[in-house]
Amino acid sequence: MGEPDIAPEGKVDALVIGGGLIGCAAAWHLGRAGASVLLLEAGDLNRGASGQNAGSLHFQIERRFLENGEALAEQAARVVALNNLAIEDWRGLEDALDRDLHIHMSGGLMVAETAEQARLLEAKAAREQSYGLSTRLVDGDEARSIAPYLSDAVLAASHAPDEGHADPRSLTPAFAEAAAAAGAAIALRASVTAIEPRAGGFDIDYEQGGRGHRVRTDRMLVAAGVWTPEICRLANLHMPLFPVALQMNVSERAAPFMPHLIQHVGARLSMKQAHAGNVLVGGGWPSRLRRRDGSFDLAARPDLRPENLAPNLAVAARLVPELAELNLIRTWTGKTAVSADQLPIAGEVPSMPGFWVAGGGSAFTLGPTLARLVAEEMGGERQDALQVVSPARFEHLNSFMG
Amino acid sequence: MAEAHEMDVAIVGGGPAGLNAALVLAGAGASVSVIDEQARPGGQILRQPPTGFAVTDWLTGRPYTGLKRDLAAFEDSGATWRGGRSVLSIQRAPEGARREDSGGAGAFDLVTAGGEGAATYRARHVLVAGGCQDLAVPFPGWTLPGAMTVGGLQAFVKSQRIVPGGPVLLAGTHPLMLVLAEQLLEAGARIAGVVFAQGRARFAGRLGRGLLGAASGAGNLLAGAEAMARLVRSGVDVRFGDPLTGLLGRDRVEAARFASGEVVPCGLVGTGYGFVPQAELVRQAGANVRPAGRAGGWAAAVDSGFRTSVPGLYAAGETVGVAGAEAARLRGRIAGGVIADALGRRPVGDMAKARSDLAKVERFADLLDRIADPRPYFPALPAETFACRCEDVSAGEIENAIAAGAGTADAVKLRTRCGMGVCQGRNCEPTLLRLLAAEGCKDDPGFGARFPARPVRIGDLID
Amino acid sequence: MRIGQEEERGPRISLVVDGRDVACHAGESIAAVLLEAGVTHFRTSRTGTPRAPWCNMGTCGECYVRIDGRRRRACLVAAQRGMEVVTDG
Ligand SMILES: Cc1cc2nc3c(=O)[nH]c(=O)nc-3n(C[C@H](O)[C@H](O)[C@H](O)COP(=O)(O)OP(=O)(O)OC[C@H]3O[C@@H](n4cnc5c(N)ncnc54)[C@H](O)[C@@H]3O)c2cc1C
Ligand SMILES: Cc1cc2nc3c(=O)[nH]c(=O)nc-3n(C[C@H](O)[C@H](O)[C@H](O)COP(=O)(O)OP(=O)(O)OC[C@H]3O[C@@H](n4cnc5c(N)ncnc54)[C@H](O)[C@@H]3O)c2cc1C
Ligand code: FES
Repeated sequence: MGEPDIAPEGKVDALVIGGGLIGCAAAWHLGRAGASVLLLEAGDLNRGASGQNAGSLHFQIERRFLENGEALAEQAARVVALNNLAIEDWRGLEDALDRDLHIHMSGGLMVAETAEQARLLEAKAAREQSYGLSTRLVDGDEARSIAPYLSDAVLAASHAPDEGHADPRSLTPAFAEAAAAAGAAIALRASVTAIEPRAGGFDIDYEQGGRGHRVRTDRMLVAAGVWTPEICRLANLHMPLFPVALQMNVSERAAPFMPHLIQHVGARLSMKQAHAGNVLVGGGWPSRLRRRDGSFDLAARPDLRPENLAPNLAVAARLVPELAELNLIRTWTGKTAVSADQLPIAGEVPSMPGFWVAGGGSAFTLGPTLARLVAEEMGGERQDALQVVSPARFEHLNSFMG
Repeated sequence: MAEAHEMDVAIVGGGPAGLNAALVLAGAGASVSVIDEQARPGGQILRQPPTGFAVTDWLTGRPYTGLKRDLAAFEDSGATWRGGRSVLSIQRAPEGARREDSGGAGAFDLVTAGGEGAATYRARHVLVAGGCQDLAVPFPGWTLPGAMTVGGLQAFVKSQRIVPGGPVLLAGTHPLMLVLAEQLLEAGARIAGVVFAQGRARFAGRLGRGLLGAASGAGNLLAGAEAMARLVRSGVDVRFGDPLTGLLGRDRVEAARFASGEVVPCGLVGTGYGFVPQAELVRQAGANVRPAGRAGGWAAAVDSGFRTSVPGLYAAGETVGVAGAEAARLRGRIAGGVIADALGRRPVGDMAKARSDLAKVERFADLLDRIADPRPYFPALPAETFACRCEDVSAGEIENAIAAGAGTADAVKLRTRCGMGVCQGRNCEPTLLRLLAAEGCKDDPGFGARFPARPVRIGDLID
Repeated sequence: MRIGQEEERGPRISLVVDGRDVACHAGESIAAVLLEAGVTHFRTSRTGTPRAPWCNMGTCGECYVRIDGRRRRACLVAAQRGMEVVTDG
């Protein structure tokens, strides 16, 4: 996978920008559907959020949607329909890609430690059920019978049988290899420098190996994670995705004892034991983006916020006391994109036909599904499921962009 | 985590560099703490026996006299010893915590962990004098029990006063093997051989020429030459020009195989291919590092005052480049003086002389480094041999990842888990960079350094 | 093999290693005590191979054992009376 097999001034049916999970998965679907595809990746595959995330497959409504009022919670509930699709997609991925992706979907528990938190869980479960997601409320004892490693601090929990985790390090390369096998060309260390819309398509300039290249395409997808707004600017578009910096902790390996995904309804926490035995503890604790020249430096690794280590690990060990005896071997930081309303953005930009974006939110869990739906749309089939996350909801921002 | 303990200067590492810096600073009236994960001060060359031991004739040779004097002076200085604590990170303290009078430099928080839990120290200036570690060189059989680094084995002999097995074979390129062989002999151990990969001419020729050129290092060099003569007289098989190719054994080392085809039965092996700086704390704090030299690894990049690129953060001793104990002493002394200056205090001692002595010692160190240069003698790495011993990642898996497009250390790590284990990449990084360079991916910046610099019990970070 | 005279070492104590009593001297590192007691298998690697101390200075992690319930680097921990050590834990 070096130089793509595209002649200068060549033309492809579909061009994908970004070699993360979404870009690689979309390239695979587009290639399978018979399109000629070029994927441009500025660095190495999987070097963005897709290679740095916690690997949680969370299908319950996330805590972050519950802490900012009714309206957001109701809006978030509509994503649950997408979560149902994602469950099916994840169940079929290892077969479709014909390899072990360390997908474990043995259930997840979102726990409550207080009566007030338990009420929040109830409201959440009601919403989920109305959108067809099967979560079940259990009391502390039942939670402990499902997950005997949980402590007495757990008062109640909601159990989602399909939740779990997968290996972020395997997924993107697997999509990329499948895409290549389906005929997609993948250009590494190829960075997009200009996008010029023209009748019925786009001319894209990119740089690779110190040389400039140009390629023409009918349809394009921007799946460049935190860099997506930058790329949209090249096409004179606003895209309200914002970089946020997170930090994750990982313990040494331990014998398997925690088969579930554990989250907390009242505190930032996600925790699971990865396939190699290491326990990953995170859940949205911020690290800090570097700043340079009055802006955020997206090239730099975010700085750890040591003051966030203890509170994050403390909640985790309160729920799972065994964790305290394990050694922390690494804490890492990564950045990911969040939209203005916290939902993903995926779909065609109404004011610029032929221009799709996909990203934002928990796009490890939803990434395979968003990529599939977007690729199917690019192939000409409208996808109703994408309506709730369509960039159309932000079109007012682009109504001034002549 | 407990409340921050405050001080003018925190020194990480109580080896020759850290102790000398502490002596200068304590002498100048600054409040200084030396934090070290070893229980007792001295660093690697003077790894002291446990407190309850009363070893007569401990390390009596000439190279140790000055160092032992430093150690005694340190015990009487006003500096605080905080042994048995690993430093996990050095971070800028939050804005409000910085003091006006720190000369533009920042205050730092050092997160540490020891037997009794975690503690955070706050210091106006920090000196990292973390020393070095043996370069990890993989070869078939290197993970078998009974296979050790030469430095690690030596620490058992001089500090723990044990020889954990035998007969003992030493192999590699580094002259420290001679020092260790003598210590083993004195301890009454059976020595199966001392086998240098490089030819005798390369070794002895350079030694001879160096003697003429680098007078101040002559003490050490003579010690090396004398050691060799004594070993040979005692019937130890000291050989040259036969690189180690692998170790044999099922559940532990039983024999060593050499390029000549010879198989030497042995039960304990020390391999020595040189040393690489421990600079991860400096790197983690965001300061610049540079490629350390022939053996590989990264050294803290410092100016002539041992200042890193982060104001208020200094590095000395082997953290800035491997050059032996004498250089470490002098560097520590100079760095201590520079920090005393920054605190507005008068350092004691003749800094100009220290600088001119250091120049001489470093010239000699470079000679030693050339003699020990491991690069031509790295054992072949068959596909099934582990390059990463924490995660059991084989050289073949790494080569496949590179062939599949992973062109950087981070990309290979992501694909293979190489570097994701408890050593945090310290041991496999040089090998990985070597494998990358062989495939044309040169000048890779490596893994970078992450919190924590040492594994730490999660419970300790919470309490 | 312990070097030198018995009286040069610290007070005699005993520990429990994998359920059996092991005599040693106070202050010796747990790594040294285990090796002298004939233990060569400190931990088992991911693919099932036995491991024992390698760097003896705290940087490699090959000597991890459980000491009084905690996973610690045996080369950095000094023996104290009555400690309980479990290898391969
Ligand atoms: C620490 C952390 C933990 C997370 N945990 C979870 C979790 O548990 N569950 C979950 O569902 N989600 C999680 N997420 C979010 C999830 O990782 C992301 O939403 C998802 O990976 C986004 O994938 P992507 O393909 O959109 O973007 P990315 O993976 O960021 O890929 C974008 C790619 O675009 C490339 N690119 C950038 N500029 C250009 C250019 N000019 N030309 C060409 N290419 C370019 C980049 O190099 C990059 O490879 C987490 C994120 C982080 C940071
Ligand atoms: C195992 C070993 C044995 C050696 N034996 C000899 C010898 O016999 N003769 C010889 O000439 N040279 C020897 N060397 C080289 C020797 O290190 C130097 O000559 C000299 O000791 C360097 O002095 P220093 O002050 O720079 O570092 P050191 O003496 O190595 O001191 C550094 C100190 O920092 C501590 N430290 C490092 N990182 C941390 C952290 N994160 N937290 C807390 N503490 C930390 C270490 O425990 C150590 O005590 C040896 C090196 C090694 C690695
Ligand atoms: S032997 Fe390497 S950490 Fe103990």
